[in-house]
Amino acid sequence: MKTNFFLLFLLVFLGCSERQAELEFPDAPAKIVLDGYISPHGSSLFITSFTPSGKILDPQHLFLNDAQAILFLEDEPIDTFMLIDTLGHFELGPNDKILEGKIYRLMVSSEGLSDVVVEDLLIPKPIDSMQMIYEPMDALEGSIRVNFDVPDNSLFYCSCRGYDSIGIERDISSTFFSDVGDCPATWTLPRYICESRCFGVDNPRLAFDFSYVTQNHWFPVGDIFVNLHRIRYSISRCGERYRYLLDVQDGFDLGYKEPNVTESNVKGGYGVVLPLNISEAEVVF
Amino acid sequence: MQLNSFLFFYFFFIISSYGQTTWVCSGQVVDSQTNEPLVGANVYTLSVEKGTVTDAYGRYSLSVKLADKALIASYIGYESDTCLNLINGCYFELKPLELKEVIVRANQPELQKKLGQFTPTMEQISSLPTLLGDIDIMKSMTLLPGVSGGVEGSSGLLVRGGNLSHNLVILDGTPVYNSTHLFGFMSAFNPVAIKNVTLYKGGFPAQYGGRLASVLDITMKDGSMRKRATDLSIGLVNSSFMTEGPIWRDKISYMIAGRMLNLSPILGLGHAASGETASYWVYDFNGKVKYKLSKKQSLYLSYFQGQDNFRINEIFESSKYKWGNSVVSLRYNNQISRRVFLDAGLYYNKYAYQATQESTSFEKNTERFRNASGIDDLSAKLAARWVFSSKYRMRFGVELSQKSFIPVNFSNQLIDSLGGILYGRDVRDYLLTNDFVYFLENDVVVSRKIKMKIGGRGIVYKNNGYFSNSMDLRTSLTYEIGQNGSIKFAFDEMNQPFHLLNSIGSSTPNEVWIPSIEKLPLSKATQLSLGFEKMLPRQDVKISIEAYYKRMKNLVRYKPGVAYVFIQKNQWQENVLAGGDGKAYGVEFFANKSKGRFTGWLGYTLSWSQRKYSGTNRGKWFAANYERRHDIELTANYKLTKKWKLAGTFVFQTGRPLTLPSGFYLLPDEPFGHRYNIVFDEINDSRTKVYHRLDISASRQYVTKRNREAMWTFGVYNVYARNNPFSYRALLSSHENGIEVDPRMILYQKSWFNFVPSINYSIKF
Repeated sequence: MKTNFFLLFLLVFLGCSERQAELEFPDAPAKIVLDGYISPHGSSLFITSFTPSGKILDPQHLFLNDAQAILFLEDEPIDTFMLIDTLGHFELGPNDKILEGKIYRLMVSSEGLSDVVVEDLLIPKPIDSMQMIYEPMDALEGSIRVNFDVPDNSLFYCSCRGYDSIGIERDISSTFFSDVGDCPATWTLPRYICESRCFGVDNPRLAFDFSYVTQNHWFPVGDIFVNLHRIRYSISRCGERYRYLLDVQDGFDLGYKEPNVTESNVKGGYGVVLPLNISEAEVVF
Repeated sequence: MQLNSFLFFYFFFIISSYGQTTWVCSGQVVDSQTNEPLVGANVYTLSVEKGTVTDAYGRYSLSVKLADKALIASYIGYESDTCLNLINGCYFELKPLELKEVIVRANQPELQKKLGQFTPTMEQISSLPTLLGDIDIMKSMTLLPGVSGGVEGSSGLLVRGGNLSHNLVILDGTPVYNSTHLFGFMSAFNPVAIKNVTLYKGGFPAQYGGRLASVLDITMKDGSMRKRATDLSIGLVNSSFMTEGPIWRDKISYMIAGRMLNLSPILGLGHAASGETASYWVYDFNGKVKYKLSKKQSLYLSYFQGQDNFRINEIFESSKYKWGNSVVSLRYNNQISRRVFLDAGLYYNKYAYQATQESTSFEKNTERFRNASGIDDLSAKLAARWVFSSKYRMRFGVELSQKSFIPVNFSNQLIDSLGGILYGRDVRDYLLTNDFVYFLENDVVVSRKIKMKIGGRGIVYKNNGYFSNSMDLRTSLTYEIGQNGSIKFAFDEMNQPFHLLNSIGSSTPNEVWIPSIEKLPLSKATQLSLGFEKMLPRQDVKISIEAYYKRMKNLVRYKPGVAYVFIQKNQWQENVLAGGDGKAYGVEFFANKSKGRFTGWLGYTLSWSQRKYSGTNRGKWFAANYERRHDIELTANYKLTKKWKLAGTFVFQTGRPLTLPSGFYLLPDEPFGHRYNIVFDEINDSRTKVYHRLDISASRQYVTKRNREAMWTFGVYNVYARNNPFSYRALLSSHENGIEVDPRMILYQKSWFNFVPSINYSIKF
């Protein structure tokens, strides 16, 4: 309402109008889009296609299930991603050839589209100071907190998954709080990347807090409550250079704001592939 | 510096030989009714062989000889005056032309022959048709070649490819850091309080500096020394008054002016029904006192305050924004001798911005966020003009200033219902800069046809550990072709020791001024301009063509994705992109008819303006915001009868650069499924639709029964209701006529200001 007050005034008094524009969008060819990470304990990749502005999204060719994604160490192929569903999800199991400090390259091809490559995927050091605290207050309330040391102002991958009594996985990353430690954190969902904002704090620590207020570990997940039996946090450092690749733009008003150019480390395509070194901690109720 | 020293002594030696047969006649040109100095009046010899224009204090000095016999002073809207006593200097009192008279003049010299300079009269500015009838000095400047505005209807100036912050706007010698009201849609300067405006786009005098693109020098009215007068004006947008008169006849005068926006009552009505309240108070105040110590010495005290206060109260939330300038200056000028003029002054400006947002919970606790920024600028100047002879004059001076910047002033408090603070956090960053400026300008008549200006402006800048010492060269050359034509060349270097960060993405003002530091050194610009100018005396038309090429270095902008609110002490330093490059070039054509029953001008600009930052657009050049490849402006004023005046403005511009999405893709977003990411490949890779509009106005000026001058003005902005693009909105639509379809990108254009009528009434007491 605040932002619209002036528009409202002009609409009434000056005859503001809005209509479909006749401008042509810039030409852009269809390209491969990658979104995911590689990590020693498991890698994940979502492979899809890009729809140019002037075209209608084509569901038939949206998910590139035929894609071939190969991971290289220097010029040596070390593994191939496997398709796990029909929605463009590919995975790689734990791989002892993916090591801290090594630089990897990912090549992806799909029929009818130009090949793409992601270079300089340097696997970071793992987080070794992760601490998980489970504090049930009573049957109705409690909290689970994970905290770890961070350097000033850096990026982290943080994901939180819950599992119910029959082992069904629930992504609950979007429901925990991060503004509880010494440093506030800013989220860049959907890639589970958070940016710690630590300035002038001695021994800064970042904390993720997950509180529940219902009986027997019923947690809010989206609009519903789910009874969880265990929760697993996955945390990794993420290179500072990926900060500007993570911007997601899903709505904009071109009159006021100059949009950011979409950055990508996928040469010849779009999206972001992150090199991670995920550490995990789990609490079982 | 060595070059300047050499030239100084060289010209000093040369000019000493001239003073034998000629002498310097100096004096002042004033309004006979108010005794107010006339800025930019022509003073010339009877033979029209040589002449000059008066300075900001109405003063002139001209080298004459016995054969010249007489001096003539003329000014638009005034009767000319002749002076025969050249020995003792001439003090001209020009009589304003009566309302009934139709101004027809011929055979007067065109003396303002400076490259890249334009001085419209306030009469010219006020006769242009405007949006909602609101006379706006800044907007009228956008009708000149080489100058464009930002968003439609806004008062921002973009000169020869520069940014909004690259313009030095000075009011009675004091820089004004934010020159607009109403989110940029209204200039901060009340036209009834303004006496003179001069815009410099190139060929910058050495006395001006500190910005890269232009200088807009605005002088407030001094106030009449002889009679009291009041001017009242009521319009759709605002209402204003100005009153002036003598405190001590011919010794001390005053001028007070005020202006207020008429928007608040309208907003109150609009929001009453929804349970929300909104208020928007805008005012500005101008005041000036002139003390004429003697015929050759004057003291001026000027004050200006402009403020915007915008507030919205909802049930559990409230937002307050306020911003504005306070400007005060004390100036002294003295004509020490016929040849030497001295100007001294103390100047202070404070610009402050503050946004407060409060939200109240059910428990009656209030969380308050306050974000503020600002700049304080205190300076002292001393300058002198020394007229050695008709062939050589020199201007020099020094300036000391201290600026304090507050780029970050953030507080977050949780307050309980009793006013106790449950939680509080404050972050403030404060930086103090000092600079010392010196300048020297030599004005030399090399031969009968060649005139040259050469000088420089040095700045010694200090900010904590950062120190910078640089020298700008300013030079121009004029070669006269015949009596009415000339070719001109100018080379200018400019530097700017501070930067402005403003994200155009916000609906509220978010200007943050930051000083130069080690990581963000002084911005620099180099401009080369070449022009040809010819006066067509029969038609009273001056035509000019100017070409320019400009390079800019060390430009600064936000990093991609950074919002405008800083909440950490040093966050602004890491959130800016430094080391930006800019280049701008173009050709400007201007034909101006400023005298007679029919006046107006035609301007055309062909221009390019680009930017490059290593941290955005993948390091590639991109078109600067608001670059207009072709820009045509036509203004016309016609004095139909003694009472009626007609005016019209036509503007045609190429669309401005626009960043359009090149496509979109899906991202997994568990547990909610998927979301789209819209892709932008290059900054400003498209252009908006062509912009054009026609504005017209008619004014009826008359004398009331009580012998008061009054005027009604009726106008229409955008007569043929052209849907010009104001903004664009792109969205991914997955519905068509209520049916779910596969998503596609759709672009919508917003248009404002379609056929906007206006009415304005003003009366003079």
